[in-house]
Amino acid sequence: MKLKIWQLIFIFCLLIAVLRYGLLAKIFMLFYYFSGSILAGNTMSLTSEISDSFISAFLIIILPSFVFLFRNKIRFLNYNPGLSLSVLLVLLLASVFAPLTASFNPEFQKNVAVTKLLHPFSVRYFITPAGKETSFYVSLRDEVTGNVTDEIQIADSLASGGGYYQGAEKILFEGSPADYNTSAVLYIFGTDELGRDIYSRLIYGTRISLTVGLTTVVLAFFIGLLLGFPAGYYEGWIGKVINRITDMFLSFPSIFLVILILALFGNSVITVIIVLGFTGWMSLFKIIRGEVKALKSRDFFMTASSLGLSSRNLIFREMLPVVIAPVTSNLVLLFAGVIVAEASLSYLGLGTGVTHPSWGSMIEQGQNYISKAWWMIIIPGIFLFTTLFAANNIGKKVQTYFNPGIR
Amino acid sequence: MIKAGSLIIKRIVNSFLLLFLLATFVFLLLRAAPGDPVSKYISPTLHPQLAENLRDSFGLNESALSQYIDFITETFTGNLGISFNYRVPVASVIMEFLPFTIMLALLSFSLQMMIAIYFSLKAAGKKGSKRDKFISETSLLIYALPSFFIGVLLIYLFSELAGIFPSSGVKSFSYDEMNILEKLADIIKHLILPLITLTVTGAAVMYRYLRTNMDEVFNSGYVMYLRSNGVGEKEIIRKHILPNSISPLIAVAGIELGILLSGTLITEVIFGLPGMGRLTMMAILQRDYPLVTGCALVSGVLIVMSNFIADLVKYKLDKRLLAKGILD
Repeated sequence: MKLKIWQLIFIFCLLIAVLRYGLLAKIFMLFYYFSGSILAGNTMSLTSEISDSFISAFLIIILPSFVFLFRNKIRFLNYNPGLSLSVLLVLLLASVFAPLTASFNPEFQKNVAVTKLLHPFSVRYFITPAGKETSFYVSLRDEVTGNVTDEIQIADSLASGGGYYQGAEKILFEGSPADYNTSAVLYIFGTDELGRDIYSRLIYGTRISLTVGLTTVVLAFFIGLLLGFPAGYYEGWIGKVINRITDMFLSFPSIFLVILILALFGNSVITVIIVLGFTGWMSLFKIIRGEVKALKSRDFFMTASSLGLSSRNLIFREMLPVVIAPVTSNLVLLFAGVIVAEASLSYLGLGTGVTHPSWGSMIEQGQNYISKAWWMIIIPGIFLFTTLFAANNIGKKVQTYFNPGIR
Repeated sequence: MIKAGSLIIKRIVNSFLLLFLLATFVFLLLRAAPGDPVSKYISPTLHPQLAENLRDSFGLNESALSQYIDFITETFTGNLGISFNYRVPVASVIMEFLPFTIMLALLSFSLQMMIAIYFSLKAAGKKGSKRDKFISETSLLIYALPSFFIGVLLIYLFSELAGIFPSSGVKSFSYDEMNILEKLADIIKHLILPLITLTVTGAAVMYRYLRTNMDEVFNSGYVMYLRSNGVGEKEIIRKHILPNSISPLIAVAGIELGILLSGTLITEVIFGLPGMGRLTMMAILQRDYPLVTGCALVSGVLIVMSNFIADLVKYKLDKRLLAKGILD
């Protein structure tokens, strides 16, 4: 059975919607309350977590219907993606719908003594008082964002006669057992040293990795284009100066440049993207410069430029479509390279890992618990490896597509 | 007629220009960065005059331009200044860390080359066979593994589970009590995991390059001619295909060697090794301005040098390349 891209997206969204229908319903309920209170004139704080849930809840309805309706109009949706692209697409979708696909808030931690360093597939019991005194809105909001830290108790196992164990300590319910809700929760990939769910952190980490990867590639491509075009087009001193500066960037190991800038100017997602973009454009520059140089003597380009087209038209109408083909495979490979770079930086403590869950920083934390918790390093490592392998494979495929001669 | 000699001189002049630009760039970055290197040594509760004195001794009170002129003249007369943190000349700090890195880099580099050439010969000998496919797939798999993950994985497998190799450092605690053979064995034991980490990814990259080039040469006319004349397949590969497909590899090898020589940061951090990579990173994190610039310059020199050597080797192999502007 060969899935098409639209079928893949459709099935994924449907699966998530069916599996998380309870959460989805709560998000819509919260949205109903929210818009009601806004209309009534009350200002409620719209945190990024809540808006994130809203967006993914609406998107999970809109996206499948969109791909279903337009499946015959957009050619891309009818491709057979193959294994590598499917893997990347599933990761992308999972990270876009992170509030729905993750089982916890990535920062959620409670009863660390009970939940820390759990094996994959461990089960723990969540115990909540049934009759809460908080308002309906607040409880809904807490459930949607996964920030239920006050009333919840996490138990190792349930005790007979109403109560639960936390470690060796047996705690009995106050009042009757009917006042408490108990639910078994599966930690599919285990937990880290602070009792945070590794699976959820991985999903949110995927988001960071893919965002950094994609935006950096776009940034690097534009820098390469902006510098490569004049360097190839004007062969006088401008081209020479730009080329010399590129050589300078190439002669410095870029990881040190990145560390230098990040250490001196602070690290956040934005600075990581900018710094990686500004250190990753050199290979693109070299290719684009070569292509533009070759392009200048081609008939159609000479005609276009002697017709007096503006340089913007020359770049976007005449040059870009020709240049983008040989660059595409490099863009995909750069994407893989950027993900490695981001993970390595997070591993060194200089990436996005300080404020967000990131694959690299997860492995770095895991290294401290290497003798106790193999899953803290192996599982993020497998995610990282799978992504990179898939991206490299796609890059290779694109390369063969454009130059069938080289195998 | 172009002369190789004059081109080499031109190239050296260009390299100096490059290093000058690099030094300027690092200088600008360090001075533009927020934060005061003095605050690391003088507590703000102490008298401000103390901080002022220290700043004077670091030469940070002069104007940026005079600092820059001082810096450039001193650097190019060979004086890299005194490290803020170690309180000894930068050159001697670097000389303490550089030999280790050079040893590790050269070891790993030669291993990479040997592995890449050996396996591509093995694989190309029976093109399309199971062995060929297995080697190529393995190289793709290794290529996709980030080096820090390989390192951590190796520590987990060989230090934690098997307990064969130590997980960090270059010497055991009992190093001083050992005799010479034990000392050697101890160091080798400590270096095996870092060497594997450094080598496998690079070897996979080089293998892929060599293999692609070999495939291109495989389909060329003269190979067909040799084959139709009844020359053995092994001899064709060894004597004709390998020499003709190696020159693009040398360019890559030059870059790889440069990166290795300037310090292999990630590996050094994972295994806690005293190399240039960690020194540079520490210098950056501690805002040790002279040491950062010194490390950057040394890395720059090593990278420029290894690229230059690679070009010379390429020229030695194929003198026609001179006309194509290889030494420009």
